This record gives sequence, structure tokens and C-alpha cells, in this order.
Amino acid sequence: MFLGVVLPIFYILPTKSSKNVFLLISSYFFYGYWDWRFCSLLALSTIIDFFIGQILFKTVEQNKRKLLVTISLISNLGILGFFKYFNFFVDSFKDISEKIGWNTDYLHLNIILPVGISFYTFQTLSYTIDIYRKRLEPTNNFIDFALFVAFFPQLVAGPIERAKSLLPQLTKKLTPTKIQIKQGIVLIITGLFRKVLIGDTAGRYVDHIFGDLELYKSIEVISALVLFSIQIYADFSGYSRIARGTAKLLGIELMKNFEQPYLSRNITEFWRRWHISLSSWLKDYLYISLGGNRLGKYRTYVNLMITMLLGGLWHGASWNFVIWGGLHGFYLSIHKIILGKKKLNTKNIKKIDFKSIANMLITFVLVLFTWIFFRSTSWDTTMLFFSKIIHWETSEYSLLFITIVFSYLVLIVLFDLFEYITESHTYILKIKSNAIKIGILSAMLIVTFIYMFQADPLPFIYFQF
Amino acid sequence: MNKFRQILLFSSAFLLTMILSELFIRTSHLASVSSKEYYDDIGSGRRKNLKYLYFNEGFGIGKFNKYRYIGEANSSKKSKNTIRIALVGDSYVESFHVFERDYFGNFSEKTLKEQFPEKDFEFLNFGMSGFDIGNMYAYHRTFVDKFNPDYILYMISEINLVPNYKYPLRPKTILENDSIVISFDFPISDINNFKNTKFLMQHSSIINMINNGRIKSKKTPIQETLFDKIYYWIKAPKELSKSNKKDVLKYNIDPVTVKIINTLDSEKVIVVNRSGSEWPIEFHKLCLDNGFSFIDLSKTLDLMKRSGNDPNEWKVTRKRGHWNHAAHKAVGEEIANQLIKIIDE
Repeated sequence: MFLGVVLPIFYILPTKSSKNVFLLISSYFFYGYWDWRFCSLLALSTIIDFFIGQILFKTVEQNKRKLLVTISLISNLGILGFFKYFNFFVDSFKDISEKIGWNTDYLHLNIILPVGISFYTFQTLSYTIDIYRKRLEPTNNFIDFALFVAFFPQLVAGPIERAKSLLPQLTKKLTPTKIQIKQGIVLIITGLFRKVLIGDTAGRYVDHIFGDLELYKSIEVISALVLFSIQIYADFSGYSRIARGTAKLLGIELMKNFEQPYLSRNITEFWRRWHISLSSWLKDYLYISLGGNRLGKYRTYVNLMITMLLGGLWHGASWNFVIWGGLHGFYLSIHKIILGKKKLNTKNIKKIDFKSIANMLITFVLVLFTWIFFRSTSWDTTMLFFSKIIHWETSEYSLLFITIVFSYLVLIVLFDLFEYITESHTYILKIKSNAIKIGILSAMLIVTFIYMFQADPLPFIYFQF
Repeated sequence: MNKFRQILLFSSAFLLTMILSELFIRTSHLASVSSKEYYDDIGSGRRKNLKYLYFNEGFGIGKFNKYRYIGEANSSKKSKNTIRIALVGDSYVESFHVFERDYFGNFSEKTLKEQFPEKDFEFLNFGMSGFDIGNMYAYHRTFVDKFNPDYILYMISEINLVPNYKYPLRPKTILENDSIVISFDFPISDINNFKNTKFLMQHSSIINMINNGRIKSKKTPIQETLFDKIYYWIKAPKELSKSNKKDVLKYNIDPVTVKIINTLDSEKVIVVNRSGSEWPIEFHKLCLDNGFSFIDLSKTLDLMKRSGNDPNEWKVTRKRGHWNHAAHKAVGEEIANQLIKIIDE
């Protein structure tokens, strides 16, 4: 509905600045729709980084430049830290303080997490860090910069765009090309289909089973885990597609966030295909800042672990996310040891052989194991999950659950295989006949709307991060 | 010719995508086909041998057996050693919101078997969504009796006490010359309507979803679905109801309900208060006068609520509705404990 109102007005507006001002107002409306109070946080981050960027660029003295970038880091991460991690650290400290005899209950605050804060914080940070590294010139146009931070299609759940790529697009008059419009429509429809028909529906099983693990039998619990791996992928990649498609309709290109991650042949490849905008951000601004692989073998592993632990914590204030990140850091380090000096080929393979399939399966199982920690809301749930697997209980619905899981897997793998082979998210456009394209897309859209209309909506998973 | 070719290609692509979507929907059980069937002997009922998966406030899996009720298929024959208990009631009895293994009847069965190891107990679930006391009686006489139950539990709450006949294809219990009659006088238009749409509804989950959407749009305004929060910003707040005072006038029991209670066999029928609050005193007295055994679940359910375990609260979906898992367990055990006393007597 929102897009239905924004698009016609956007197309009518004649100038670059009127379009950008309108998009900025729309973006703030979009964000304020959840809770208008959080618009102030968004504005604060925008103002701080806009002016720091300006001063930083003009400053030559290294110490002053360091000071400026530190101010940007402290203020942005300070806001993020307060809203996202304050209670986490207070509660984690509580156990220790209670042992000493201190009561820290009064420190726990009722804080609401502003939607998308982790995404736009990282996005604006990349702007000041890039200026500090002299890789980017700041913009003098406040509206353009504010729109870069608040651009509604990717504001609440990414992709986390770099200023280098998004800002230059905003300095020109936004006019979508015919091919962009076609691609945009395909991305929105296929994204909705993924999110609603695959992600949401798989999520219903997952939520009920993980919500009360005690009630379910071993095979049902394992099914819920596999379905969660599908849910999170379909939900987040669906959202990213909708974001990219919407941006295309406005004449803007956003980066791809997913490239068939479950077809990865190893864990390093997985992280080049999963949540690409975050993993590349962590690599460029954290891993490399820590020294990357320039400080020797062991330091490389330590850097990898730190990056992935913090990457886990980025997802949420819970030790479960830290463990999830830690496990991925461990996998990556082991893989780095195995690889040695060999260069890794992560390009799509032309011929899928048995070895590749086996590697894909092993990688999927390794990733699946980490999802246990990611999905469990507490340590007790995690332990209960393992206990359900160890103390095996047969279910009268085993075959039913296997069929359900299999049907979801087949569909998601099929979609990914089309993309993998064609190396395109808009492979439907490669079909020559327009009638066939429209037939497929309209059927997908109608089925999605029919489901949406009669079911309870589920929010995008990554909105909570 | 070219236009015709384009239409043909479009239709083929559209249909093929629809068929593939239907295939996915059916195998993943993200939506189901209609579980309703029309039978001459009972009117609208459940389809034979149909497995169902249900999501709403809870998540349930079960099966309608070949005899058209939920659970293991027990025929009319039973061994001498078996005590058969039929459960009659509305959606609370039907228990779509939990797995079949977690519904209260199974807990009762288990408890009774532990108490009387020499006996065999069978709980037959004849619950049906939207049933009122008139429907229950008609179902009992025309269908449940065929299975020779030793006891029939009428699980009733205050809202079931007035026959309202909301569903046109269910038999009605009416009064004719002061005697009770079960009427199968269904409107022809409704029968035809059911028969005309039956094939599509029973074979296409997409069509069934459209029907669900149609039913939902009757309950929730379409503007709310489309505009969400904005709908409430624009919509003027409704006038508050003029009086919040509860009607304290004497409760008048519907004459059909009175007649049903007078007609039922008090040796066989046990009346269960399935709600969390007490029945109208007049109805309670009517049952007492007719010598019925009672099982009152209101105390058990109320106790749960007071101790912070709201029996109708579903934590996962954050909805309030039918009994949750804990309530099913508590209800099952309470029914079994009360039945132990009745059987002992």
C-alpha cells in the first residue's frame, strides 16, 4: 500500500531535489510508522555523521582525524549499545554482582529496541570510516546524505549499503530504466512469494515447536530446525529482494544480499553468499581493522574469531548469538587451516558432481547445527533441544514431518538452482515469451495474496536485529 | 493468430504455476482442503479418513477416521471389558489446537486405565466446532448412539445453552406439540450450494484459502487488512456502549434446552461444565432435578487462571482462545478423577 502511494508521486515529481526530498519524507514516515519517537535517533545519527564527515575531510592532522572518527564511532555505537545491549550486560553482570552481595536489579531498564538500528548504524559508520580512510569524499548535500541513511527500502533490514555505492546514485536525478522496472517487479513478486509462502509458513511450525519443545518428539524437533533454516533464509532473502526491487523501481541499485548460500561447498563460501552486506562490512571494517591476515597465522584465527563473535552479537543481545558467531568463527578458522595457502574458488560451478553435492550437504549440516543456538531463545531451550535428540522418542507423525520438510527443501533448492545456473535473481526475465513471464508472475502474486489475506501476518525476522 | 497464441501461452504458464503452487501447498500443509462433507444421516460433518493440520492460536494434527469422528476408529462393536465414553461438544472438545496425543480425552483415558487396569477405556471424540446444545442432542441421537457408548459426556458452557442453528446444514432439535423432534429440514439452496462448490473446496487448497479469506473478511473489515494502523487513525472511534451493567434478570432457559435435559437418560449422560465460570443456577437446578451426574471444570480452570497459568492463553501466538496444552492435561485428569467416582458408585 505504501509503495502504491509513493511510486506515482515519485514519478510525477520533476526535479532531482524534489524527488529526494519526497523520498526522505516518505522514508521518515515509513520509519515513524512503527514508532515515531525513533525518528529522532535516526536524525541524530544522520546529523552527527554528516558534520563529522565534512570536518573529517577538511582536517589534515592525523590525531584530530582519529578523534573525529572516534566521536562518530562512540556516538553511533553508544546509541546502538544503549538500546540493544544495556540490559544484556546488566543482566549478565547480575549473577556475578549477586554473588558479591550487590543488588543491581534497579539497573535493568525497560528499553524498546528501535527497529533497524543495527542496520542504519553500520551504514552511517561506513561513511565516516571511508572518509577517514580517504576512500570517499563527503557529500555537501544534507538531503542526499539523510536519504542515504534513511532510504526506506533498506532502512529496517538492509542490505547495509556503502556510501561509495549508494550516495553517487542519489546525487543524480532518479529515473528508473525499463529494465530496472522489469527487474524490480520480478524481485518484488518473487521476494513476496519467498517471504510469505515459504518463510512465514515454515515459521509457523518453527514457532510452535521451539515455543514449547517439551511437547514434541525428536523427529518433530529436528524438522523444526531444518524448517527454521529455510524460514530464516526465505524470510531474509525475500525481504532483501523486495528491498532491491523497490529500489529499482525508484531507479536505485542496491547490492545483492544472498547468493544461494545453501549451495555453498564450504563454510568460507557460505559467508560469501549469506548476508553479503553484513559479512563484507565485518570484513572491511572489523576484520581488516584488526589486522586481517597480515599479522601471522595465529593472529588471523584470533581476528576471525573476534569478527564472528561480534558478528553474532550484532544479531542480538544474547549469549546464544555469541555462541552462534563463535561456532562460525571456529568453522572458518578450521577451514583456513585446511586451505593453507590455496586460493579459494567460490564461483558457481558449471557441472555439479557428487563431490560438490557431498560438500554442499556437509556445509549445510554444519550451518544447521549453528542454527540451534541462533533459534533457541535461551540456554535451557538449547539444552532441551539436545536432550530431545539424545533421548530419542518416535513420533506417530514421522512420515508427515519428513514430507513437509522435504517439500520446503525441494522448493527452495529448486529456486536456488535456477539462480545458480543462470547467475541471476531475475531469471524469469530470461524467458523469451512475455506471455509466459506474465503468466508465471501473476500466478505467483495471486497465490501469495490469497495466502496473505486469510492468514495472520508474521513480521520479517531480521526487523528485530 | 498471434494474439491467440499469446493468450494460450499466458494461460498455460498461469495454470502450471498454480498447479505447482497447489502441489507445494498440499505437501507442505501450509493450507488444507475443506474438511466438510454433507451426509444424509447427519447433515454437515467431517470427511472420512482425512488427516488435518491446523494452525490458529495453537498447532494441531489429527485425523478424522473412517467413521467420521476424530481419533482411532472404533466401530459400533466393543468388547465386554470396555467402557466406552463419548464426548459431545463444540470446538473445545474437537481440540484442533493440539496434537491428537495431547488432547484431554487421551489424558483421561490414560488416568482411567491406571486406576482400573483390568478394564479397557475408549474415549470417542464427537466434538464439532460451533455446536450448541440442539446440535449436540441431534448428533447424539442420530450418530453417537450408533457407537454404543456407556457414558456420554455433554460438555457445555453457557454459550452453548441456547440453540441458535447458525449452521444451516446441521440437524435442528425443535419442539413439536411439546415433544422433541430432530429436523433434517435443510434449505435446498444451501445443500445445492454445498454440492456445487464441494469438489473445488475438497480438492484445491487455494480455493479453500479463498473461502477462508471470504469468511475472514466477514469478521475483519477489508480496510483493516489493507490499511492496518491507518485504518484506525482515520476511523472515528465507536461510541461506547451505553450501559455496561450486567443483566441480572432471572435466566430463562430456552424451552428446547429444557426439553432436551428432560429427555436425556441421566444414567448414561453426564453433564460437564466446560467453561471457566459457573453455569446459570437455573440450568444447574434443572440438571439436578433430572438426576444427572455432574463434572464441573470451572473450578479447575479458574484455579489455573488464578495461579498464573491462564488455560486459554497461548504464549507462542500471543492469542487467547481454546484450552492450551496445560489446560488439556488438567481437564483430562479432572474428568478422569470425576469419572472414577461415578464408575465406583
